Amino acid sequence: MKRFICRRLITGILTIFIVFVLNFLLIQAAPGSPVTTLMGKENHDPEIRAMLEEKYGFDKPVIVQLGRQLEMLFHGDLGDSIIQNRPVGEMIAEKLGPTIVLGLTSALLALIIGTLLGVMAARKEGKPVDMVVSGTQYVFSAMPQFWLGLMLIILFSSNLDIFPSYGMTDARADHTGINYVIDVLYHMCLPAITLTLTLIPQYFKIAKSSVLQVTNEEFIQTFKAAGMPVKQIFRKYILRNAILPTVTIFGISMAYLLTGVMLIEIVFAWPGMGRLMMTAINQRDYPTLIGINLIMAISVAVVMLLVDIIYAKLDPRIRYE
Amino acid sequence: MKKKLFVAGLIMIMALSMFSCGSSDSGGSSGESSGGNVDTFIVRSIGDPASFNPDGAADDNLFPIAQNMYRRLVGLDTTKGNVVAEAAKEWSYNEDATELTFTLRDDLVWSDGEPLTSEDVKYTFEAIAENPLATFSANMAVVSSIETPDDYTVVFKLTQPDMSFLNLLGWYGTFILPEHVWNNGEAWEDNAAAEEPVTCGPFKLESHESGESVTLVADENYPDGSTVSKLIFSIIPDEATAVQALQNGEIDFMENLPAAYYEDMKADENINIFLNAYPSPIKMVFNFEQGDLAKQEVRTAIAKAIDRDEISEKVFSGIQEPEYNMYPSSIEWATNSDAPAPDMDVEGARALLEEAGYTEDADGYYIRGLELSVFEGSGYPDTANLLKAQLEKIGIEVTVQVSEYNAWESKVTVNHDFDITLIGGFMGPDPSGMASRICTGQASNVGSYSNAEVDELMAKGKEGPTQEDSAEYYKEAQAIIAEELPYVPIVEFVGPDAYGSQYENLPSDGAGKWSWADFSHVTMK
Repeated sequence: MKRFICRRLITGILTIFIVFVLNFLLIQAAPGSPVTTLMGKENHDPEIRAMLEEKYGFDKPVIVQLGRQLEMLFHGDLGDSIIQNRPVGEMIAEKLGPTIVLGLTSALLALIIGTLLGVMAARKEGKPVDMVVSGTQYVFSAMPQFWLGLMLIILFSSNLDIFPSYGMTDARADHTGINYVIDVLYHMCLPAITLTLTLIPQYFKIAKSSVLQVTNEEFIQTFKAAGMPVKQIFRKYILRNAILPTVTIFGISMAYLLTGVMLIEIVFAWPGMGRLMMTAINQRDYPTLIGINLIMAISVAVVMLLVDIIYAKLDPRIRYE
Repeated sequence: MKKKLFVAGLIMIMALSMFSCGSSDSGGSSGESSGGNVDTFIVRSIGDPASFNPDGAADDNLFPIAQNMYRRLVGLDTTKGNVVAEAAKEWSYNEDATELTFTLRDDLVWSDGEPLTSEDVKYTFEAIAENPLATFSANMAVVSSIETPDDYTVVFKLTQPDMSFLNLLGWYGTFILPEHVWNNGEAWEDNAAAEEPVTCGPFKLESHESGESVTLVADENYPDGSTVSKLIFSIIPDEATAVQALQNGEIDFMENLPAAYYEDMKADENINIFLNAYPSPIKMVFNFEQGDLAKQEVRTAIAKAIDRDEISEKVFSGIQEPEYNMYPSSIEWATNSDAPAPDMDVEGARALLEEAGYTEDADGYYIRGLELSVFEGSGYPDTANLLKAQLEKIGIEVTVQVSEYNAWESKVTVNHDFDITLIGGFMGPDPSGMASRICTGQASNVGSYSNAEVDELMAKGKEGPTQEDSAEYYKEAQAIIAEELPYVPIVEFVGPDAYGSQYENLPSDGAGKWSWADFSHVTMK
């Protein structure tokens, strides 16, 4: 087991390294430059451009820049944002909170609702309930997040006046303590509903198909033939086997949610990682972008490692592959 | 089970709606006021300011905020053509326009209690001159020295007569900074003084929540006071959300309302709209290094193909009206209405191309494969597509290439890798703002146009020494460029300000009185 974890750990670190280098090169290859943002609109002076490029080392060959970036990384330093002139680590830490609150709540809700619906649809396969639920899921899975978000704003904020339309807190009120928490939760309702509705279909599909698959396995047929009560078969054998893929999907989607849900954050003006990333892309803020990508790579790698370990624990054959 | 869930859901929605009512009672909607004064006024902002140094690189996210935190010597009012008093109460040029003297107000105090004096002004402009990254730095080339005969008098000595300098001082990156805080030996762009700004305007910084808001509060040190106690710049990146928030009264003001929402908002009695015009017309710019476009007949033919009314109506709902004058017609003293760009004339355009020796190919084209490069947003791609169709009628085939802004900048303004492009941008407050776009070798002259006569006229226009003299030179220069067409004006730029109809004395109501983003006078009706 130890050797297995070691091997997985090394693979993980290598993956992160490769992702880091690829990201660095891709960002550099894109047209545009943070210097353009720094110089401000309407300033096209080539001398100032050259001066700034020298200051930030963009005049050096890409490989030298990459080396410098890696050296900083080994010292645990993500560097400073070129545009905001602040440490990237600090900027990311600031945004992680709002993103995790929104992402985790929605992912958990989607996991529970999606799985329940999926199991229900599988048990009533072909019946009207299944058709209605499955049909609805197709609609939501095809619906663009930003559009759904805007429709919910128009319905719940503008027409019904139940929820606020943007932001994380009420700008007119200075809430503190428990009122602040309630205010944030209240503002989170619409974005969380939007995100949950669009996340449910993936859990629904996985749950439904794996329950159906297990139900059709021969050993289940044997149990049925032997006269075991259907409820008992379902609880003891079907559900346990069918739930594994859902857990994997949940883990992976959590890793991606860490870097934010860009469209939802933009529509609802939610101050999370997705918007930080979008702004960094528009401004070509290389250090911030690299920092965010690195966090994403690490979180995906960690989740993958955990999933591997859990699987290896559950199924010893995996360890000796 | 299902019933229980349903009931639980209903209870939750009811609880939340009660909370929402509760919060609008106590938190206060925009209706909150005391005797005309406004407690909290919320302005929509697109993004975070990069820093609180108002004189650094151009930062459109900071500019409106800075106009409420800091003071310039003079500001520009909502017409962007008139200079209004800010830190200076009087100003005058000497006879030959080589010396500009300001008398400062003697009652301005920094937010830390120190008085604002001529030394602060001298320090600010000397620092700007030394820092090439400062927006105003290039304009300081004309200043030979800054003298401070007493605490409240500042004299700018100029190397040559320059009537435009005063107007430029009212625009970007000219805010006075406190010397006792900023002159600390640290580099300008990394100066810690920008983090906890000491200011001299009607408002001071309370907090900046990155990605959320910048909150300013009225500064009791400011002698004129403010009718608004708290001014919040709330960051809402998506314009559709911002429009909803404005209609719901969650925000009070948004600028540059997109044309698509204009009719709806105009019909809403809770919303007022002011058509805020800027001397920043959308122009089609030609690259003189491209063979066909270097020929004047081709440029004139293209200019004759443009149907401005169609573009104005279809893309901008008629808000941004057609612009024919080479210098924005909104700045009346300087624009030359006698020498506009050519009118639309499809037959004439085709005849011109024939004259220039072009012949129609099998598909009916005289010229093929020109690229029209535009950046995303502000109606540019739609304008480009209409232009493509209009040019097709005179037998010129263009392909529209849309890029995101930063990529467009590197393609067009850095590498000059384009045939035709669309550019907006401020051309005021004085025609000298146009010089950098058309004079030989200037950085913003992306099409590489060059005419020694135009260069000379633009230089003379700057010298004055009276506005009438300047106007004469500038109009002559416009007559030449209307002939040679380094660019063709298409539509003027108008950004509608939309705001709650319960307010008055907005920045747009301050023509001749206060500057165009000063919110310290807003009151309830």
